[in-house]
Amino acid sequence: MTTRLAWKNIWRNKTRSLIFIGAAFCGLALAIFTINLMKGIAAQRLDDAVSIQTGHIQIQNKDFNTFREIDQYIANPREVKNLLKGQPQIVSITERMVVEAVLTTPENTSIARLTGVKPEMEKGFSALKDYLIAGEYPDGDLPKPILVSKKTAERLKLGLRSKVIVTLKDASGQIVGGAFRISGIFETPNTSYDGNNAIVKYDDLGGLSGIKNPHAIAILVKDRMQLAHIKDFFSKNLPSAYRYYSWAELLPGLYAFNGFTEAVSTLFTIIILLGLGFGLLNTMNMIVQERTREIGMLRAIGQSKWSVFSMLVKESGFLMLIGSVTGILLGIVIVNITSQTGVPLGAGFAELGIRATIYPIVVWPMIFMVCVLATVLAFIISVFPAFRALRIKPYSALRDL
Amino acid sequence: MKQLITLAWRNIWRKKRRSVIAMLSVIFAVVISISFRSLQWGSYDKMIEAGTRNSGYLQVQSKEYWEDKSINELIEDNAKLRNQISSLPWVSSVIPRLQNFSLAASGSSSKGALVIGIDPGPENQYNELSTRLIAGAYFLENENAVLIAEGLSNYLQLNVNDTLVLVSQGYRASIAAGKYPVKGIVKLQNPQMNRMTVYLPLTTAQTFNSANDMVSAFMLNVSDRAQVDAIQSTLQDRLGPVYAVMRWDEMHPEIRQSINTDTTIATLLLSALYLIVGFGIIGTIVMMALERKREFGMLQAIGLQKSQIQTVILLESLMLGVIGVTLAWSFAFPIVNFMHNNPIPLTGEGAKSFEAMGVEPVIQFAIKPHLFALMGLIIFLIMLMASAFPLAMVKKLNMSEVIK
Repeated sequence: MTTRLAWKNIWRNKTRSLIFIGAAFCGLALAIFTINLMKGIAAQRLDDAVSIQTGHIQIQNKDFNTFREIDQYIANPREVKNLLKGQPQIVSITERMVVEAVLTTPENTSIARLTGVKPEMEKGFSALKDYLIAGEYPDGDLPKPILVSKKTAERLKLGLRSKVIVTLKDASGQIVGGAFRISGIFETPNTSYDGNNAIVKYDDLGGLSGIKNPHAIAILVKDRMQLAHIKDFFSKNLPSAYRYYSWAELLPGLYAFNGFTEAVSTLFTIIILLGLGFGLLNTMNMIVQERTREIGMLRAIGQSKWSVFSMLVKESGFLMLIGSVTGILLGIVIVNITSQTGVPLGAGFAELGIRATIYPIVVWPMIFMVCVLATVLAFIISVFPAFRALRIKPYSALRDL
Repeated sequence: MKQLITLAWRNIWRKKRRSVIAMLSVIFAVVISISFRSLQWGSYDKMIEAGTRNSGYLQVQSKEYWEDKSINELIEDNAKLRNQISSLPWVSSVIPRLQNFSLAASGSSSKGALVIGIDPGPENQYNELSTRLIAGAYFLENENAVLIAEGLSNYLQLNVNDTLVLVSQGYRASIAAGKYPVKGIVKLQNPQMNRMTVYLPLTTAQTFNSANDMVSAFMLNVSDRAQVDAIQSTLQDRLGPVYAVMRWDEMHPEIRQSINTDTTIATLLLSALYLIVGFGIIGTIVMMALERKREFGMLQAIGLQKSQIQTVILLESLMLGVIGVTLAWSFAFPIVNFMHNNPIPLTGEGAKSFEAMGVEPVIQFAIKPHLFALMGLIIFLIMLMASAFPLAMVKKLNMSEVIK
């Protein structure tokens, strides 16, 4: 009974109801699009960094991340790899050697972090080969191949197959140098990574620096949100000479950006719903004010206080529901369309590793949160005007009739 | 006119609760948006401060220098050039630098390093490098010694008075090599710089690189950051195409890009908020007009011009806006001011990401008058848009029909 009455009531003043619904519709759609775009950016930066740089997990010598000494390698990689075998979550692993070096050509000098990779292990792991703009991954016939970024190649005036001198300090403390030839040039979405990194073959780097063992074993898992179990396992079983690093520790900047994204989207969901609350409060306020006499009449013909109260709460609920559900739906539709077409941000954010085109993704927990908050808010806001309506005395409201 | 103002003022208080709620929504939107943007601007300022500490607000370089950072692209340090630069208004100091990459080695280890030749006095005046010392002492004048960054000193296991060996390629393919005692160790905020920086006094660096009287760049400090664009174009004109004059945001694209991403997201989210609040206000004002159709007809009947009625309507919405915005400003300012004077230090993961960029990990609001003006302007525009419907309604109003 009160439900039908409430439904009919909200359409008695179409302009007012439609303006409120329009506010919720446009505002929530824009907010949902923006929040999902932001989450899309965070996810894309992280996915790229994980697939090109770190992997989800790394096992390193316990001191390597702090001091990066060439002899802080994994003393017994077989022992670590045996531990990894029993883990169903693990998709792929790779062994890497990481050495700081100076790259020199007759034209210029640059410093770079050299990563020695085993091409056959990187195949299912690193996405770097997808970003080659010239040449090939260092697994061809070229002796001592090196992969440099476009940025480094330009700085050092290098072309394919040209020679670059790599100078570094070997395991015995001697400064050693060797000539490498450019096998490929890459350009990733992250220009600051590009500026500081070069890739060589594991055995070539080992030969030059005089070590055989990897500094890091990088691991990809099925789902990066499910690392707790693996972390548990390693904290129990990993020998104390090694240390477990999750992507969050390896990429603190991106981890914080994710946290920032979470915080801002929650905060703004609340802020925007509160803003909507003011509109609803005003609408409900007007409803009660202009219907004082009518509410008195309802009470006089025998409607209980409770049914008047519930009618008003339902009106508020309907308004909020129509506005937020349609707004959320429009938001989801926009996100779904742009997740196909992409949102062009332009190339202006490459230094942060943000791609020129972002594909937003629908984050369902966030949408669930919007729905719950909107319902709660609609109820809270309707309570005040509805209580005011309860104080209307049938006698005095009808007196002037 | 005075009468119309009185009329408008009384009208907005006829339905007190409704006007108060409309103003509250204005206050809510304006206070939230000013606070949020002030917080973001606070972090931008910290980033810019951290970035420019090591680059200046502008740099004068050889045209080819920035792309390659090559030791071969130097400029001559002479009185004429310095005078051309420092005679510009807003340029408060001109600080020379000579930079090169080099292999830095100690007895135990070696690493690629950034070797920066600095003029000890002016450099310290600009970025207070000496306050970053954690061991040893700052350069007295041009002497044969180095300051090394803390991270590098750990890596090379060097202490004060130990010897650092630098080997590189100098100016025009000369061989650069030298042995220098470590005079001091500095802890730099930027972790990347902290792992790779070696400071030499300028003349020592010039000798090391075989580049007498040459520098890679002049860093400029300015008295007003807003004038950076103007200084750049004037200076570029004055110096000609052999030189490049670069702004801080060109030298630190990562800072500019962080600010741009942040601003884009904030603009979208705040637009959503203003959209919602704006609709609410439009709704209120439209309702106010619809209810009063008859009243407007009556006013016309007793002799008011349509334009006078329209003025009253416009005054009503402007009054709502002005009161709302004024109250919002008076709430927002103390918040922003308090958060500016009482920065909150960050801890944990959040702090790490600030430190990773070399930025002091605190939350400090910036006081930016333009934010107050901008948010006020947005409300003003919303109010104008909201009045559009009632204004049109009055224009079409048929007096005899509505008062029947």
